[in-house]
Amino acid sequence: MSALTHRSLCDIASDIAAGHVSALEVTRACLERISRAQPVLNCFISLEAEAALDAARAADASRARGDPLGPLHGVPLAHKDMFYRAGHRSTGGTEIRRTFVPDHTATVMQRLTDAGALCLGGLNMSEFAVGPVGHNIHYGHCRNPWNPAHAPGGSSSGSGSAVGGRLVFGALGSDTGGSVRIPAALCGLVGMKGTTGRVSRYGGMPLSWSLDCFGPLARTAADCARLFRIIAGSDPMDPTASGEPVADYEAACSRPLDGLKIGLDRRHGGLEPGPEVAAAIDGALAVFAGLGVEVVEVTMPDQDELNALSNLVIRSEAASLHRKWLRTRRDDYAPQVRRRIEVGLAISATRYIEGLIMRSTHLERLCRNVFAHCDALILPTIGEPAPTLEELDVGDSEALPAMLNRMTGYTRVMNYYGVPALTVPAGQAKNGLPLAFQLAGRPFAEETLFRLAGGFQAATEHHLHAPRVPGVD
Amino acid sequence: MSQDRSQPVFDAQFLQLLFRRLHGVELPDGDAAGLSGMIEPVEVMARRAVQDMQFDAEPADYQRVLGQQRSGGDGS
Repeated sequence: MSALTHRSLCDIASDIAAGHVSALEVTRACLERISRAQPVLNCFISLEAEAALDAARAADASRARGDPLGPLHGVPLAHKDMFYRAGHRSTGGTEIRRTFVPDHTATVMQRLTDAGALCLGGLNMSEFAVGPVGHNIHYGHCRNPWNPAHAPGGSSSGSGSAVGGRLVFGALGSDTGGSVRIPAALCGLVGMKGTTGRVSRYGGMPLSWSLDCFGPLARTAADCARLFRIIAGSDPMDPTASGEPVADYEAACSRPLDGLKIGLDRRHGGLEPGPEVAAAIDGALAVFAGLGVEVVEVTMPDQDELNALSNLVIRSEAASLHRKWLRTRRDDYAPQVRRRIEVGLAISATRYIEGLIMRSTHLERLCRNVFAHCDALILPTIGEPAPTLEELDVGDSEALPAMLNRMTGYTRVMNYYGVPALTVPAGQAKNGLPLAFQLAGRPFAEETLFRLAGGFQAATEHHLHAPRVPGVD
Repeated sequence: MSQDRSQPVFDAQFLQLLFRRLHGVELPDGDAAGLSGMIEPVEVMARRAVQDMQFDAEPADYQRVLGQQRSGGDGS
């Protein structure tokens, strides 16, 4: 085990900035760990080792010259293989884009580079960001660092596995129905899906332009907050990106919690979690109560109808994006991915527009019924610890809708509402796999969510537990 | 005459016709049956979910509500 790779993102950035360790040493430690973990976890689609080492040397030279240093100076990251960098292959986890090289760079990638971050490569993901498990028939399944027989979660599977496995210090993912929050939960990480429009989507592979959100996965609330602050904010290249001011989310992580209120719906919108997640949420609420947070009972709307409306929007938009390839390259899709996209071709325009129109009605209701009474809502991210990859491998069988509901029942609605939602580690199940909860807030309440997560982590040690990756640790 | 809502809207045969005519996609029988099983419950649920939609609502209302309901800052 390398102590360097197990440091937090904020700590390693401080160490590099102070000269306690060089960016080159840190990058070499990550690459050495990746070389041993990749055969087990299959996190990376593309590893850019030489380029990363060159960038690390340049970062060290820059520091030696006394240049101003960004908040991520010399810190190795890697990202879901769908954020474009001009001249770098970006597969989207697909056969269809196996050789695709974009000619422009995503705003989020540029902002991380400007902050000094290094990029070690493109991470595994569900094909076209469709799938909550981590299956990928084109590049091989990605695996959970806590137990490689289990799912890392998707669609940002490599992001969850690589950060959880201590291969890199943070990663970006995309979240259209839970694809940041689910892998964060299953891999023991903090993962943020911001308010709709909080983060620019320019230069990222789309799935559903109404519901897509890009966000970070990291090991601590402060790490995640630092990444989120860097990527958030308006962007002239993305007119849908919000001009709301970007707060100092990292500072919020160390603010006291007294006076805040957390809402709890004991029915969780009609979806009952398993006993271990329910107990983890009860335990978290006890911690929050000890920190001066008041817990209030609220009633969430039942999630079934909202999930149906969300499905209308995701599938219609995905089908319109993929229509050409569904005609010309149908056999290049995995059957399950094709099924989930193709179903959108049968949704009428009027149904799709109704799905869009109802968003405002449901968001108003959520704010009136829930957020009028509390600062954040607590609920599961997923109702159980990570299932095995094998048991979730249902292909395009009749079991597919039930599997999707099992994996995304608590997350997908938050994309439909468009509110921010954050996954926070909450302990370990009997089988040693991570447990988590989700905090959601009213639009642009990311600061409050980070404050709650930071306070919770200051009082607990769940986030400090690291997996022992077989063959590596 | 109103449609008989007890009958599935998206049966396999209708999906194959719709895909061929509208999208130029030939849907194998197995795929058509699977798609029918996926979309029919969504259609039924969505039909119920949009019953109280207001006549003068539009998709752009969402952006207005998002701004109106925004947090006033940390913990407010």
